Amino acid sequence: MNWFTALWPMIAGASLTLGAMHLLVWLRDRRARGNLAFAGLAVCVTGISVFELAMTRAHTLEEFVALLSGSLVPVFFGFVCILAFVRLYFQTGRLWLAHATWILRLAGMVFNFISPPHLIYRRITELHQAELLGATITVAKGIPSPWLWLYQLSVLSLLAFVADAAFALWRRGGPMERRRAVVIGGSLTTFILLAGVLVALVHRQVIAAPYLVSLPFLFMILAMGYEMSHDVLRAAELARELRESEQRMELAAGAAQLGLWAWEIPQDRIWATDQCRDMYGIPPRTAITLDRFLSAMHEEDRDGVRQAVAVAVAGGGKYEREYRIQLPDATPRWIAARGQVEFDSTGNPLIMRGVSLDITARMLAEAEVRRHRQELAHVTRVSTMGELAGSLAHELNQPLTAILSNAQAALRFLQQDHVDMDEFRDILKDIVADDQRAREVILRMRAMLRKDKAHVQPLDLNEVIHEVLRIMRSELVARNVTVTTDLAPRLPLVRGDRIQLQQVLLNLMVNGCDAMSASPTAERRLTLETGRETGDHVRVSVMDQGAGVAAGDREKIFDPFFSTKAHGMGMGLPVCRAIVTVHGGRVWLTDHDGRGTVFHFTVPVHREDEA
Amino acid sequence: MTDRAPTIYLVDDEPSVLKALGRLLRSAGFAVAAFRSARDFMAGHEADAPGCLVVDVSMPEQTGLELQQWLARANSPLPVIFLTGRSDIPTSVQAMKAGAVDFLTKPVNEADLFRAVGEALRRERESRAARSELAALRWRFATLTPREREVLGHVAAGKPNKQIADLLGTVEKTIKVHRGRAMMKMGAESLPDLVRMAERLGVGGSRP
Repeated sequence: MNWFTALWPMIAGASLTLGAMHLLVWLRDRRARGNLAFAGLAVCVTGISVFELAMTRAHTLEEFVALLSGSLVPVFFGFVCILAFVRLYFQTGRLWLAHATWILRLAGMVFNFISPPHLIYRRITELHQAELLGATITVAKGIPSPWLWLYQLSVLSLLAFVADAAFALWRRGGPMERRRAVVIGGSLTTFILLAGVLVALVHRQVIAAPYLVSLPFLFMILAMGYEMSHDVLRAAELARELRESEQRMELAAGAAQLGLWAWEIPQDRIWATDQCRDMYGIPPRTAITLDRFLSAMHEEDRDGVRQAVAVAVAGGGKYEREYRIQLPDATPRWIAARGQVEFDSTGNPLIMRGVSLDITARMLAEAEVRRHRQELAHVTRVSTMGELAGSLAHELNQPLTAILSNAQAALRFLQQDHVDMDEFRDILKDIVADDQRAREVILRMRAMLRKDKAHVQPLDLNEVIHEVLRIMRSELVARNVTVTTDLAPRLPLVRGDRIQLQQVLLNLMVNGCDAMSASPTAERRLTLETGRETGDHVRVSVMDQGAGVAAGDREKIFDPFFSTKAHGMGMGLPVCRAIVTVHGGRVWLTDHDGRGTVFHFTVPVHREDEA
Repeated sequence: MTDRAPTIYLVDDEPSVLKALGRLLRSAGFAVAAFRSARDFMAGHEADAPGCLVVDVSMPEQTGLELQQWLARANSPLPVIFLTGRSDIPTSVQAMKAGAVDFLTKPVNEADLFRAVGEALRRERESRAARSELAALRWRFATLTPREREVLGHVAAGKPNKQIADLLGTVEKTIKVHRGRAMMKMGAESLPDLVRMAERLGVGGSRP
């Protein structure tokens, strides 16, 4: 036993061990093709070392030549593995250089097989025994082949490929890529160069030594293995980080009361966190399908959700919905769900991932706000009607007066000798008509005084204006205010609550009348105007010729409790603005040319597709 | 002139009320002329015809009160009854001060209406009688000579004949003749009767 005979088995063993490790990595994860290339290279190195050892023990020239030719095979595959490894691991490298390298190498090998050993030697003159590290080994002596450049060119080409790829990686990368470029690129170029030099020295019989290509190759794979072990460590670290991040995510989701879910669409299988299952009343570890999930939903909301899901899956991608969940023996809960569909390259939906959030508290708060707003609107409406009470009573008084007088006249006619039946019939008709009128007055008043939920419907704003003019009629007469209307014909319908919009108009008109209370009778003129506004809105303008609004009050006039009237509550305009805003419109004021103020408000046009 | 039947002028902007009240008044035998507005009434009524005005206080353009003021300016003897839909005390006070017969709240009962109309027509009749008597006096006064008028003025002022004669630079007897002629022309039955007539005509009554 000497150093020499121990060296090759060590090389072979070490590279096989490393190769086996990375082969295992590839077997576990078929995407790790870099590891496969590495394992291949390790096997080639083992092969090379076996050939090299055998050559040192060759007895005949023929045997030596055969072994020399054979050793070109693992070297060729080693080259191929290096090329593949660099491409896969660096994800860069010039393809034409790679192809040039292996083609040159293959060509050399084939040429050598056809006419051995003419790639390397023109002729081997003799074999002789030499002493090396205490062992006797066989060494060849011969004339180098003129084709040797082919062999060397392939080595240079490989070098160029590796160096170029390493340089590209260096230029592209962050710290990890740079280290990789230095360690692997550096060791590959160094050891390829070293192996090339060694081989050249042996060929030219500068040194009397066996081929020792396997040794630099071993260092090469050691360096590569060292670098790749970083990846293994990094993978373990990533796994730990992933676990950590999952835990953090779950913690955050838990704290935010978010339910996480994912729906595998082709399999109709829903994964959901326990918190999410809780929300939908689904016990842990039971299978969930889309239908099972929908069954937890409030009946009225189910179709809407189904449709939203269908739209997202059909290509929309985004899913966003608020709905109620109705679990047995529980009050309904409001859920907001958001999801995103992932499609494969052909556009088939694969999976939808999303979150669900219990928004019951928010919805209840919003409902409360809505209720308060409605109550406030009602209170101010009743208060405005209170201001008009005298006029409204008068409005009712008119038909009552007519009815009473008609009835008393009828009684008197009856006492006469001759009863004019035509006159009598006319009287009764008039009584019925007046009663009908009184009823309408009462209905209008009751509608304004009632505390109802908003009822949004398509409305003709011109008609709403006429209705308010009927309510205001006596008031306008009593205040000596003349009304002019300039209503656009064929106005599109708007979406709104009749009573609330009447309230807005009533308020603006009463304000206009108040503003003109000090004006001479002839100048108390209120103009009502309707028209189309850009952006699919209808505009209503109420124009007075009153004192106007002081510039400093322009901003404050819509603030609650701000009033310029002696007895004003300061709630009229804020409520008007709230009503108009909820309708999706806006309210503002401008100067009337010359004198007075114009209040404008807009209401969105009703669209047929809106429910 | 006085034997013409009186007309009730109705003014209300509300057609059904106008129609019903007109019917009621006609059923009680009144002649009725109905108008939708103060303007219509101004244009359509007969200025000297006997009757009374029943008018709603609050109407667009000209109100009932404004119509009352217009009548006063025009020296019309037409009495005014107001109707109102609301109990508005300041307005009613203003109306009554301006000489309204009554201020009725709608719905108005027939009894109240007829009573007010009756009262208005009575006042109108009286004022009309008074006006026609005054007109007769004026006519008769116009037949007096300037001297007789002068004497009548001093008589109405309560001066004795002697003082009047001194003032006019004549004798007492002449004054007596002038006074006798004036009494005859004026149709006075006695001296106090003559003095009363002079006062109504506003001749010398206020002088001490």
